[in-house]
This record gives sequence, C-alpha cells and structure tokens, in this order.
Amino acid sequence: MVKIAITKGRIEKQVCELLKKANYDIEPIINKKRELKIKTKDGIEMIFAKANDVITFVEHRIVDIGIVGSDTLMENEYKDYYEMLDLEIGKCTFAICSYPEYKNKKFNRRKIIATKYPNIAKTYFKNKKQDVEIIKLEGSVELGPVVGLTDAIIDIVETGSTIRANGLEIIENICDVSTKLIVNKVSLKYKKEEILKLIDSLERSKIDN
Amino acid sequence: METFKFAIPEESNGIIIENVSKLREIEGKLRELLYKENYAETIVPTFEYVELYKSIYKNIDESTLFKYVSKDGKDIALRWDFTIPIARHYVSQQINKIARYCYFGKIYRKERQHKGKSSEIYQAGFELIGKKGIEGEIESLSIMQKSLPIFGLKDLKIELGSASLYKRLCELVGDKETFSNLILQKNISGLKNFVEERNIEQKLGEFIVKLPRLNGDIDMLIQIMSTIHDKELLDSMNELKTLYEKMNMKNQDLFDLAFVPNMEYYTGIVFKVYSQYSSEAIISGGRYDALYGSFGKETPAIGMAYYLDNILKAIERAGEKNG
Repeated sequence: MVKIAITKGRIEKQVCELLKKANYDIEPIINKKRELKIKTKDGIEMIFAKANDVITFVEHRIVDIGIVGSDTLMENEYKDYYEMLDLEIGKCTFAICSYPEYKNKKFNRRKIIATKYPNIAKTYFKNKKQDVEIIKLEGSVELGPVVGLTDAIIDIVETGSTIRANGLEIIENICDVSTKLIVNKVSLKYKKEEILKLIDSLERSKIDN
Repeated sequence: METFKFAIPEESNGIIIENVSKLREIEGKLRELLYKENYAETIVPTFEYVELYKSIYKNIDESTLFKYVSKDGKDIALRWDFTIPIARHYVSQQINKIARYCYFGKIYRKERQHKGKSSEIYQAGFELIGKKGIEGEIESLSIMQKSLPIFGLKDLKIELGSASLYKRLCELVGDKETFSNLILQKNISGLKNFVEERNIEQKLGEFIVKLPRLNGDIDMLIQIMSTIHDKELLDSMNELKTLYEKMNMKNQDLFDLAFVPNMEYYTGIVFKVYSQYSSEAIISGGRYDALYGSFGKETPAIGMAYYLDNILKAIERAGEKNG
C-alpha cells in the first residue's frame, strides 16, 4: 500500500483534480469531514497535513510520498528525499514586494524585510551582496510595510491582488513556485512499481490539464 | 527543586536503557566477525581540527560540527567521522601495505532541532586500505554479506551504485552542478527539461531522461546495457554486473544508476543496505581512492559504515510488526 501526505487546503483540491483525471478514487477525500487519515479504493492511504509537516512525515517514512509546494521545500533544510515530479499546480512566484518608491530609495541603514521564509530571504539578499534584517511574520506578511514595521516583504505571489490592494507592487521576481511530488528514498527501493505507477498517471493527467 | 537538573541539551540523545543489551549483542557479533577477518580495532581521537575537515571535505556543512576554541585559539570539532583519522594514521605511519582497520563509536553531527533527529550517531565500520580493484570490492562486500544475518532482519536490500558512472555522465552532459542535483533528486520533470533545453545527443538524452527509473534489479541493468554505446559508461555498468555475479547477490538486490556520491572522494563502486523498517540506509560505503591523495599518498581504499542506531530501530520495528 502506498501512503501519501498531502498539503491541506488549496494543494489538496488541485491534487484531487489530477487524481480524478487519472481515474483514481477521490470520493473519500471529497467526503471526508474532520478525519486526517483516509483510505481510498485504490489502496492508497492519505494523510492531510501542513506543508512543513508533510516533509517531516516523508523524512521519517511515515508516508512514502509527499505532495508539497516548492516554496516549503526551498525553505526547509532537510533535502534527503527524491523530488521526482513537478505537478505544475499551485503555480506562483517568489517575489520581493514593496511600495513603488522602494526601488530608488537610498537606505543609510540595513533594510528590514518581513517574510514567512527567512532562509529564502537570506539567500536572496546574500546573492545581492546585501545584509538585511529579517523579521518573521506568520501570516499576512503584507502588513510589514503597511504598518511600517518593514521596508519590503519576500513572499509568494499568486495573482498579486492582495499586493495591489495594499498599494504595494512586485519589485523583483525571485523564482517560480509549484507543487512537487517527493518520495522517501527507502520507499522507492521497496515500492518502486507502485510509486512509479502513480507518478506516471499523474504525469499523464498533468499534461491533459 | 531546581528543575533544570532534569532537562538535557537538545543535541543530547538521552539515556538509553531499553535496547542496550541488543546493541551490545550486535556490536559483539560484528566485532567477532571483523576480528576473524583480521581487521584491527582502532580507537580514534574525539577532537580534531575544524581546518582538517574543511580541507578534506570541501563541501562540509560547518553548522553540523560541534566546535570549541582551543587554548591556542584554533577551532576544534568533535569527531565527525572515522575515515579521516584512520587515513591519517596509515599515511603518517608509512604502512605501505594492505591494512585492515575497524572501529566502533559515536560521531557527532548537529542535526536540525525538533525534527526527531539525533546528533549523536553510533557507528561501526571497517576500512580496507591498499587493496586495488575488484579484489577490494569482493573482500569488503563479502564481509558485509556475512554480517547481515547478525541483525536478523528480513528483506534487506543491498544496493550498488557507481561513482565512475556518475563522473562519466557528468563529463558527457556538462553543467555538472545542475545535472547532479537533478539526478540526485531523481527528478523526472527536471531531467526532461534539462535534455530539451540542451543540445544532447538523442540516445544519451533518452538514457538521461530514464535515469530516475533506473533503480532496479539485475534484469533492468542487463536490459539497459544493451542500449548503451559509450564505452566508459558500459565499463562502469559491467563492473556492477561482474560484482553482482561474483558476490552471488540476490534478485531483490538493487542497482541505482542515478547514484550521486555524497562525498567527492568516492571513485568507484558504492554500496548501501536498506531495511524496510528504517527510513534511511542502515549501511553505507564505497571505494574512495581519492581520499588518501589529500594526505599526500595515493592509496586505494574501501570503507563501510554501519548506522547502529538505524539498525537497532529497524530491529525494534520489525519485532513490533511481526509480533
């Protein structure tokens, strides 16, 4: 039996679409209420978790497969898994955003940046040969500049409507983000056929998308 | 009562009581086997210069080292591995002939916090120094095969990979860094794009795209060999096949043609052993003819490390599952 951990919420819904197209049984996912763990008719066991926890479950081989955004994978220090497939769903962009005047503003101090992704933010500014102060916010990162706590934010941008609604704009795109399928290394040794079968089906329905 | 007395540092493993007798039993049997094969047990230093690790392991993640500053101002680290002190001993003592060493003890590598990972890693292992070519592989693999029944774990899989195959692929493809990352991840989507974006010869391109799937049994290896024309790639694969045959390996054992060595010094065959009851490999090793060169003396060597914590955990889990 293959065990999968899926990131709850938006990714879960989009993965459902892909699985449905690939003729997998998704009724138990749609009909679930508060259960965190379900089984489908195809003999797949699924758990639903927050993105970072999906990685932890793959790491400890509680599940064989994890479905999680590349934003979380990039931020996480643990890399000892196979990142086998780009599902090309949940696409968005990492970007630095601020008020339009940020671009030409002269700072005679360290810039202050709000983000949910301190590692990614650190790497971005290191590559720019800049040293900044990072303040971690847990939600609505846009509040950073809006309330005057930080000069800019680094966050994922999907449509950009929240950014615009708050008078901010994208200063620079950093990289693309999408949903990935990751596999525990030992799992691939023991369940190769099952895992590749799922990957092949998802890849086909992804192309039809 | 001072409550701090009951807390231990995050990096600490805590006291182990439950499985100590099992651990000692395994360790004892391993030691007995290695002594019988003429491997001399070594006790290596606990403290080493950080500089030493950095000069030999160019990509070492320094944040994994437990460090302090010595009284003469040098950075010192807790033992990070056993391979380096044994290599240094061999070269500095000018041993110049085949030597066999084994070791049992802890290495210390700082892990990320609150992830259920241990920073004290209990290892056993052995190093075969000065034995060239397939004779070396055969000796070390046969010891490993003899040791496996000690653990009483069913369904173990030995996996063979080849650092020379990996190096040849990098040569043929170019852009080593991007390519290495993609095959390390067995990234099906990424390798497809990689081949499409570059001017790679068609047959080679097809092979590269298939690489993530080429983690299988002997039939897979033989089948893929019939499609390969590059002599060096074929030589590396032949080396794997010969070893498989000579070692009487089993159908369940694996080849990983997309193997990427985690240490730059690996040059030839690499091995891992997996248990379905462990989330990571339980044994790992390979030929590393390039390491001794950094001590100024080219010497062929093969080594293998047993992750005794992983093995113990696997035995425990297997016991729970099979009642």
